Amino acid sequence: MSSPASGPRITLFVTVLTLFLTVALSVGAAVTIANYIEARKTALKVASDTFRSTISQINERRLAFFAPVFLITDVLQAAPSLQQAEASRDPILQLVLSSLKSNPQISAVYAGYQNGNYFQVLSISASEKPFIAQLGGPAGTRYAIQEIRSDVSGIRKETWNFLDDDHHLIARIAEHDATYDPRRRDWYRTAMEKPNQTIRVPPYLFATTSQVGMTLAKSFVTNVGVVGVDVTIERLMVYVRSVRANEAHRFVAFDDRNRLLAHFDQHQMFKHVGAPERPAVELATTADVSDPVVREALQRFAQTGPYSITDISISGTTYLATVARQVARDGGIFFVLYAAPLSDFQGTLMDAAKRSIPIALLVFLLLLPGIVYLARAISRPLAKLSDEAELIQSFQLDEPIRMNSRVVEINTLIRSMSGMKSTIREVSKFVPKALVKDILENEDMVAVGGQIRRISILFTDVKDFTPIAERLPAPELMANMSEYFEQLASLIIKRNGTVDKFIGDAIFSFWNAPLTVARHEHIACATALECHAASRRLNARWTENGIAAWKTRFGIHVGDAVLGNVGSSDRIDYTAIGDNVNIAARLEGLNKFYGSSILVSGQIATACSDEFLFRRVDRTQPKGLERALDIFELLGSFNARDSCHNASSWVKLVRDWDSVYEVYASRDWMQTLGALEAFADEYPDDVLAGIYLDRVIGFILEPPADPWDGVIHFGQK
Amino acid sequence: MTYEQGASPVAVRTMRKELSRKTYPARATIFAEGDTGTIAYVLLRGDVTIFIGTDHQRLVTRLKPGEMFGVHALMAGSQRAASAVTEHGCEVLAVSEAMLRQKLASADPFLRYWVDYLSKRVIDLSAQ
Repeated sequence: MSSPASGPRITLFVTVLTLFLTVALSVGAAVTIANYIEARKTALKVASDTFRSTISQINERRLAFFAPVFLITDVLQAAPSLQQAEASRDPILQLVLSSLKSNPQISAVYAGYQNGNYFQVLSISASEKPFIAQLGGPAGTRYAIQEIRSDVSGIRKETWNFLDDDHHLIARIAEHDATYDPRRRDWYRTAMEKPNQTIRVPPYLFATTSQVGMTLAKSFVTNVGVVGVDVTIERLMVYVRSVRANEAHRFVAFDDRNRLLAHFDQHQMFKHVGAPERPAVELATTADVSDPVVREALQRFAQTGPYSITDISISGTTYLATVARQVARDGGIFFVLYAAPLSDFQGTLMDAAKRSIPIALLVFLLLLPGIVYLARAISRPLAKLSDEAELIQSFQLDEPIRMNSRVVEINTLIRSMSGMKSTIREVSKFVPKALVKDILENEDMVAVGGQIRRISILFTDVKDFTPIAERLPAPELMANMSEYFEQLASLIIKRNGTVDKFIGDAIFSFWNAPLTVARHEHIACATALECHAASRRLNARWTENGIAAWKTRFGIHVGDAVLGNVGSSDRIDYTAIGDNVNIAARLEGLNKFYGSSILVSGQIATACSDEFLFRRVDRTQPKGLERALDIFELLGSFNARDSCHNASSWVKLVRDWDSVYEVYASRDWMQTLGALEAFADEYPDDVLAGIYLDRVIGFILEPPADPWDGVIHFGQK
Repeated sequence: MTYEQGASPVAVRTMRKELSRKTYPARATIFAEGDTGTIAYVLLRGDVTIFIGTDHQRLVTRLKPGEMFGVHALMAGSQRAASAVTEHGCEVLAVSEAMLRQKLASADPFLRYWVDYLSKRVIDLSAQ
């Protein structure tokens, strides 16, 4: 048997229940993870789409934002009244003012000329008001017009006109010397260097308003000056910020020289440079970005160029990011970076688990009665079956297994087990039950081998069986034999005897092996008496039914025998062998000679004379035996429980016979003859006395040689 | 019934039908030559003398207790070839012919032949 598994034992019911619970939770977890992975894929797609659409919205806004600016720049550049440094600006003024009104992002339009003349119209919004106040303009100023002209002496004079919302002049600052010189400005010089091309100055802080802005500039075809338009990109930035779903979204634009064009945090657009006493601001570059998400996204961009989507993990939070390449209206290349937390597109795995696991548990709880039913359906019959197995182990085979299961395999198991039980039950009829029980209990391998043990051996036989067998038809004979053996063998088995085998009409049985039986000599005698009585009862019934009676003869002996398994590896018989077994068989056979029913050896008579009544029969040495054998006939029991014989009637017979035997033993044959005749007078039906009478006559004629040991030798079996 | 010891033992009662004790006074004749009879006798007590001839001319033998006589008749066609006489009286056990025949029948065939041969020789010799 394999060694038992270590650890605590769990019932099948709990196992099945646990199994189902585990499966339910595992399925829940698996579905959760699968959902999460699927959701993540979806999230990436959604994020990618969202980013693309957001960027394209911003682009549309950018284009819409800059389109009028470019248009106005082109219109002004082509306006005849602006192309001459000295011409009056009135014809164009109304157009300029209406353009400024309808395009609030334009903060100023202006024109600078080679001779140093300058014309500028400022659109005044709230943020420019302090500048106007500082200049000395009225508070209601909506537009401020600055004009610088050289007078005849070549000195440049500057005037300011302040208009209200309705374009009426509300104030004027008279001519004074101008300090501002357009020709020294970047926009002027760049535009002059690139004739007939709209140039763009990267974002910078306007000197007048400290607002972030850009300048578009284009030189006149006559190349006498340059037209410029200032654009406040504050509004664009506000829009860009508003397009973001929340503050955690990042938007950054930068050009191919890594200069920032837009930043979701406007304060990051510029950096302070220069000495503290002369502070200056400069457009920040991507290297100046402090936001870790954007920095990481930029780092990836530096490695791979633009990418549609990637995920970035910053201090436990996952972000999705994209960098798209854009082409500006003027053909310039710039890049747009957009990043957002993954959680905006997908819940966390924990969220998913929190949603799925309770549902899985709920399903499990709903299914629980079914699961319990199923677990019971499996475990209950198995528990019963294991009880049955224990019954089989303890050799209780009488009750058939009556149960059923809905589970096919268990049903098969039940049927197999039932079959096994009945098989063992049937097979155990062929072998001594005690032996099978012993094998089952000890779980030993049955091997050829043996041991010497003192056993009481009982042989039975049917008198004159051969002619009986010849007369009866076979089926009837087998029926009679079965009934006969059933009667006798059951008594032997009931008395814990081992029925070794049936040999024709004979039964070979013994006590004290393999089961230990106390007082086995007594039990053997008692059983023989019971069998004798049973046989007579059976005969009485048979005689009534017209069946010939079978007279049973018994032989009992006790002694050492070799007990064990004899045979080949395929077929092993548990049996007893040895001289003592032969003696028992011989005793049984001697009944034929002495006309007796139960003959026992002297050893049996000595051991059991306390309970049983024996009559001395003879002293013989059957052929093949080395020592003389004292033979006794078992007549009955003193024990009231073994009410097989009425012992009292036999006691006198035994006493009288003992007297005869005493004379016989004294070898006075004349006296013995007399004693026998006297005995015969009282017991005329006694058979043994007849045998002795015959023998004594012989002894009178031919006395046995000296020394006489009283042993009668039999030449045949 | 016939007694057949070889087949199976019988009750002592049955056996005793084939046996009987008889007591004879002094000078009594148990059987006489020429008589018809097949019973054999075992001398239990007393004396028996076997004679041949009408006037007991020839003494064949004197028997002691424990000896058997009268068995020849069995082989000699039931005719006593000698006379058995007791001088001082005797007790005998008479054994029936059936019992004798049964004993003979159950004996070894070799012995049976031998007994038969010897009996015939005795008869022949007696006839001379």
